[in-house]
Amino acid sequence: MTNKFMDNKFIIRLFWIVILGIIWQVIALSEVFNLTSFPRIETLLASLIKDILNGDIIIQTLYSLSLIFKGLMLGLIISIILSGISMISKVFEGFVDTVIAIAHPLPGIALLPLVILWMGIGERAIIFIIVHSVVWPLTLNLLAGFRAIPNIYKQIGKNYGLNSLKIIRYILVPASLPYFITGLKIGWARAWRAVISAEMVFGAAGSAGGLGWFIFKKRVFMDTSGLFGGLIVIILIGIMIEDLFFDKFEKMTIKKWGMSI
Amino acid sequence: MRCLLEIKEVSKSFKKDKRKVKVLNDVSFSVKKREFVSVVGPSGCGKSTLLSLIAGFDEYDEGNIYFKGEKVIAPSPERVMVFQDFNQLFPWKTVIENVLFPLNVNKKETTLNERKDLAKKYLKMVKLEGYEDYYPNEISGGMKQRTAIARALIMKPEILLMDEPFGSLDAQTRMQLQTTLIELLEEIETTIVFVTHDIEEAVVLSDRIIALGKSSNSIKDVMVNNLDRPRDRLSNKFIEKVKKVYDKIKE
Repeated sequence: MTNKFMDNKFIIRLFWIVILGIIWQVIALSEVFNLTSFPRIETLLASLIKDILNGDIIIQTLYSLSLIFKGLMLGLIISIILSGISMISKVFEGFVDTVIAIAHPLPGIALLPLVILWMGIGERAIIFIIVHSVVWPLTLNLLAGFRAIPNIYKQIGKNYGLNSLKIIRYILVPASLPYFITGLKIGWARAWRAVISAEMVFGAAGSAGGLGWFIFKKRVFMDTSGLFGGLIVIILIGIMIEDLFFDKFEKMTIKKWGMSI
Repeated sequence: MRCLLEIKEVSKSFKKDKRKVKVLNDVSFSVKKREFVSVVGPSGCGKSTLLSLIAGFDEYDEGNIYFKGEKVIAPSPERVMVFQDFNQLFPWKTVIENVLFPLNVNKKETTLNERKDLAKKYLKMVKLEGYEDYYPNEISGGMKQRTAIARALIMKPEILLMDEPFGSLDAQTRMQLQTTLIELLEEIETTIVFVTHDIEEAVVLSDRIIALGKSSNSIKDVMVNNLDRPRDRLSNKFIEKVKKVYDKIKE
């Protein structure tokens, strides 16, 4: 039943992608727009394949992903510490709430000029932006998750002789998993957008440069097909992580357990 | 002989809108080993609060609660609580993992296989054979409560505290669980304090019934229930008993 539905969804997606492709091709072939700025699909795909084969796009994608991974990990650690201390100390809770209220509405990209002044351009600055994008939504969600845990769970933990550390490890952490996943999804989405923009502004300072730099470079050389290739990769990775990875992870965990929020 | 559980002149109040509201007023009784005591009373009479004080979840204002001669100050695996809430099972664990949980976290000197066998034995006792690998969201409310009872019993508690465990079940399922609990009594050597607002349930299960009143928040009467087991809900004696308890409680 579910499998059939999945197939259907997949077929529906494919159908509309093909339709959109045909519309695109018709517009391109009609030459209403200049072919260099509105390339045909085969030129576009050929350019993408060329960039994949010579490794350019792969290296830059991996570089962007590695930056995100570092930023996410760092953000995760900071969030766990911030939310953990908030749960223990009332004083600190007020502090964290205030900091989140100030920092959360600030888009990462708006911080770029300041970060450049403080840290220069380079990997450290990009990771700073990523951490900023991740830490606030994740902390907010972790806090919401901890607060939403039924009191009865803690009572059961104490009843069976668990100390505070074991209660956190065996009860509070798994019980807040739905909120954790939500936080991670928002964090990822923000980090992914932040990293592409930051790379475009920073360029390839110090190393290979990432996907953002890749599409920026293509623009500079008026390589529209290459630029679209970069965009396609960005879309594909977004779909892969948001629709496939998180979806699958949720199906294996909170959806199976009936814990979705 | 000293009683397993002694409650002496216990009082407890909560703060509500800067006003003190008394929920328990000078409550005293004791429970002997292997006794089944029910506490009945209308909503708000403090019966659940009383149970949570015995469990050690809450602090009492006045009086004393002694368990095996020692003052109750904190929760302990010797006094295990079964709640009314279906949510008391951990949704991320299967039925058997839930039952194993107290054993696993306490890591007694047994192998995992021995622990699993024990968990299966208790699941069989509560009639949940074959449901070991289901997740709580895949089973019914009655089965959840059965699992919770198995999880509590696997710790071999001295005293089992049951806070309206069948209160959210439909009438038929409730009777089935009562029957299972009565059968369990022959296999386990646990003392039980059972809180309920269902008088028939108290009469069918317990050796002694403590009636709490709402207006006084204290004990109105303690009734011995020595009807022969198995108890027939339709017999005259049974109905008479239910009436008697009901008369005590109504205000």
